[in-house]
Order: sequence, then C-alpha cells, then structure tokens
Amino acid sequence: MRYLISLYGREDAEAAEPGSPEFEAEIAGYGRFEQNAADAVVDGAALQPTQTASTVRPNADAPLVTDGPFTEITEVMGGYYVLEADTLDDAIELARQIPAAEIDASGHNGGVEVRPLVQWWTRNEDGERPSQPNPVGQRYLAVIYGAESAADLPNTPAWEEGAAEHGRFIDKHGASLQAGAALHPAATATTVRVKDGDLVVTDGPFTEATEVVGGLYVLHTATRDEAVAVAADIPTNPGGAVELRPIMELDD
Amino acid sequence: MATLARQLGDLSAAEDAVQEAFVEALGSWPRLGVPDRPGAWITTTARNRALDRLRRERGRSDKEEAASRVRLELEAAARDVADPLPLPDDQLRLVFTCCHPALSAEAHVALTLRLVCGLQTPEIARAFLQPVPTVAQRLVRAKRKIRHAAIPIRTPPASRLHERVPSVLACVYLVFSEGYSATSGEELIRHELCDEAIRLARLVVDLLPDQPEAHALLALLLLQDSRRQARMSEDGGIVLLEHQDRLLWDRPRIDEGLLHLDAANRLSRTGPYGLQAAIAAVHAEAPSWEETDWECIAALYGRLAEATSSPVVELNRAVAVAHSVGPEAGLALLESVAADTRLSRSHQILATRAELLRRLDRHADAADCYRQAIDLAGTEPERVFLRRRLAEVDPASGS
Repeated sequence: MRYLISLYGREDAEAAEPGSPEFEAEIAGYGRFEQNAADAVVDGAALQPTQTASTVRPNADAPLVTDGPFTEITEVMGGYYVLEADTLDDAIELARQIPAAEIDASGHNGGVEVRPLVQWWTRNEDGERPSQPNPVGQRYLAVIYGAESAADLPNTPAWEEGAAEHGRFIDKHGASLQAGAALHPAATATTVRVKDGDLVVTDGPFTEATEVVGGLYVLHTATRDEAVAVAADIPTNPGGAVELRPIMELDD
Repeated sequence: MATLARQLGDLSAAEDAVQEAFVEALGSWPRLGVPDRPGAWITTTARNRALDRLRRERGRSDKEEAASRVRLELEAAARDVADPLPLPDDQLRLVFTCCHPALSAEAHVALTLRLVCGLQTPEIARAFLQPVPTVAQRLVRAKRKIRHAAIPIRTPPASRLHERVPSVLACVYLVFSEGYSATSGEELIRHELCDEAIRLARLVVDLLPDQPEAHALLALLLLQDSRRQARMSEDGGIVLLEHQDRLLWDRPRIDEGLLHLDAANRLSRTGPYGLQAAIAAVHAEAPSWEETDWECIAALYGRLAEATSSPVVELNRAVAVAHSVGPEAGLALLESVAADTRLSRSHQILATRAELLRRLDRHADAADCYRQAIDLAGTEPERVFLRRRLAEVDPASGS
C-alpha cells in the first residue's frame, strides 16, 4: 500500500539559516527518518518556497499563468514523500518521524498529510527512485488542484475516463515526466502532527478547502516555459488548476 | 473446518458450512452479543448447516442412513471441541477498532452503532439529532476510508488504548441512550441495548480502572437503568419520573452506581459524565419527587451546560428550573433552547413547553404544542402519552 505524505509548514516563520545548529538538526532529523524508514521510502523531494511557484489555469484560448501558489494560505506544502506501508497505522508511525510533523514551541505549526495512493507511476520501469537528473533543466512538482467530482472515485466509469485522459497526457509528454500520483479522494487522508512528542492524528486532509489536491506529476524540463506548457496539458476538473513548484535539489 | 471436512468427506461442503456459520454469526452476534465460546458456536452451527445440506442433497432414502452415521460422528466430535482460551470481549475490541483516530469522532459512533450494535441509519441519525442522509454519507465515507487508507481491523496496542477512551465512552453512551429511549417502533425501551451498553461500560472500567470518566459513565448508566422497571406501565405506556413507584427502582444498581461515581470523583475533577451521574444520583437518593433537591440539579445542569454545548442539556436545565423556581422561569429558558436548530426535529421541546403551559393553565397554548409534539414523536408509547395529555387540556379532541 502506498501513501503520499505531504509536508506542511509556515514559510513566514524564521527559517533556520543553512549552516546553523537548528538547520543541521533538522537535516539530521530527515536523515534519521530516511534511515529508519529505509526501503519504505519510494520517493521524495523538497520544494522551493511558494514565491517561486506559478499557477496554470486551463482556458479556452491559452492557459492563464499567474505567479504565486494556487491559494494564499499560511501553511504551505514544503515537500513530499511516497512511502510503502502495510496499513495506515504503519504509515502513521513512519510519518510521525518526519521533522515537518512537529508543532514546536516557537509556533512552527507543522503537520504532514497521509493520503493513500491509487497509483504511483514512474517512468523508470523498475520503479527506482529517479536518479539525480542531469544538471541541465529543472525538476518541478505539478500539483493538481480542484473541487472533487465523480471522476475522483476510483473504479468508476468516470475515473476510467479520467485515467484514459491522463494516459494520453503521459504519452504526449512522456519525455518531460518522471513520476505521477493518482490519489484516493481527499476524505481518505489523515493528518499527523507531533506535539511535545505526542502523536496527534486527525481525520481528513491538512487544509480544509473545497479545492483539494487531486493528483500530481514530477516534471523535468529544460526551461520554465516548457514546464508551463506541460502543466497546461494536465487534465483537470472544471475550475481546477495546476500549481508548479520548483523542486529544491538537496544533493550537492 | 478440517474436522468437518474429514467427517463430511467433502472439503467444499465443509467450507460452505463454515462460511454459512460465519455469515449467521455476523448477522446475529451484533444483536445478541458474542457467545461465550465463539469457536464452539461456529463449529456447532457449521455442523448443523452441513447436516441440512446433506439432507437436501442426498434426499430421504437409504442415504438417510449415511446421514445419521455422519451425524453421530459429528456429535461425537462436537463434544471434543473445546475453546481452551477464554476470548477477550470481541465486541469491546471491535468498539476500540471503530474508534480509530484517523476517522472523525462522528464516524466512531456511527460505525460502532452500526457494526457492533446493529442499529440502522435512521436510529443513528436520531441519536445525533441530524438528518438521515448526513449519517448515511458519514458511514459510506468511513467505510471507504477504512478500505482505501488500509486502516487495520485489530485491537490497538496498549499504549494507544487510552487515546481512544473518550471516543469509546461517547459510543457506549449513545448506545445506552438509544436503548433507554428508542427512536422508533413499538417499544420505548430496548433493554438489550441498555444491557449491552452497561456491559461494555463495565469492560472499559475493567480495562482502564484509572480513567475517571469511565467510572462516571458506568455510574450514570447504572443509575439511569435502575429506574427501568418503574418507567413502563403495564399497558406499555410511559411513567414519568414524577409518577414512578420508587420501590420499583433497583437499589443494588443504585448502590453500585454511587460507588463508581465516588471512584470517579476520587480519581479526578468531575467531567461531563460525572456531572450527569451526579444529577442521576440526586434523583436516586431523593425519597420522592417533591423532596428532590431541584436547586442542586439545576446548578449541576448549569455546570454541565458550561462543559458541553448540547441543547438537550439546556432543555433539561429549563425543566429543573421550572421545578426549583417556577414554570414561567422554565418557559423563559426554553425560548433560547428552541432557537437551537439541532432540536428542531425533536418533539421534546414541544412536549416540555406543553407541560409548562399546562401547569400555568394556558390550556389552548398547551394543546397546540401537544398536537405538534404528537406529529413529531417517534414511538407509539410517547404518542399515547401525549394524546392523553392533549385530551386533558382539550377534551374536545378525539383519540
């Protein structure tokens, strides 16, 4: 069973300076998590701040592209993992070890969302974690936002139609795509926080909104314009949009 | 199943028989409770099913001899079947599972009422004071989440148990409430649900004796249930607390309830269940309706209203104030309760208002309220009671 873990946090909080003890501690925290989780980690990436985001909305003539994230909210998505676990309880046990889950005294309201995946598609057939891309170009996370519709229920005719549309999209843009996630409805999500070492689990997605995350793709393109062009072709529900987030490559 | 297969000489028949036995168990255990030795029950049921099948398939001729031979063997085997380990209570285990933290609080209760107690959606909806489609949707969503998110169906580890206690207590309380004052049908009281709830409450106390609200809930249930015999008249009508024969109250239950209330208070500050139990205790210890300490009860409801935001609590406080101060004061409090839309589907506000108006001799107004209440009342005994009251204030109305 695979789960998408979305990491949330406040960007306006005083970020730890790279090189500072707090920064090092957080990196060490992620290192510990990945070591404990080991094979359970299928994929993951950190995202650059939302000021680097673009939002792409389908439109009759040409897509509308605006700077900034899909919505202005305080707690934003800062990264993600894809984890393999037998049950939700096991996924929660892993997720609670992610440093982003912690609510700390200085008001960094963290939290991670655990959401079951219908499918995690990767271009590498053996499903290996995509290797570090060549230095040319940039990776992006394309997050599909929109109000849920009947097409978001797996194993329904509407879902199958949507899957076929995504299949056509993948065929067309395959060279620019590294991975993609098909998600179970937002109601199947669980939010995990850790407060003073205590686990706090709540039902539902991290953000309470009508427009929820319906799926995502990992893109790799030479230029930003190319990424926007690919994102504009991603099938969305009516009124939906795609938020493009440049990925922060952490390896030197 | 291996035993059955050997004796029937037919693996698939044995499989079918066991499968049918499980289906029967799933159907009846929620209502009747898990039997003491479920393993033996399954085997016995499976044996009976297998014999049924044999009879059907082989007909009644010389095959009957073969069947009776098989029966003798099976009966001999049944005597040997033992369930050596006393199983922990499966239903309590299921309740804790239904209260998984990844599900919403409302889902906990809806699932428990559905899967453990076998309540139907309309009955659950009334307990929540919510529309039926909302509850139906909630159940669908919860089951979908359990399936898609892979929520495990097993008892949580000991360290997680205490996190789930508030949800479990809320479930048990609603089960009792539904049994104590049923939403629909011919009977007002469904004893098996009350018994079930008390049994579950006892098990929670056994499991977690340091939880004050667990003791308080058990106290509350025992104290309320102690009045069971006195609540129904011989013709199946309701007897109000005011008119109940207190000699029919179960004193040992009351004493046990008071013991647990005491335990709860010693363990910690009084919580919501503790307050409700205290109110029930005031009634239980009063020698008569007239000698009840209504001021104390009104004060306790006041504290309870601060702790919870339930309109039902405010309604009860209005009733208590009507007794301690007067019907006018009670009516005034009722006005603010009536504004709460959650109670708009409940006949209880109307019935209460009617009572207070009747006490003030405002018969025409009282009659109006009684009529509206009758339309909304869910059970026949309640309707009978309300019609009788209506007849008292408006003799012209028919039966």
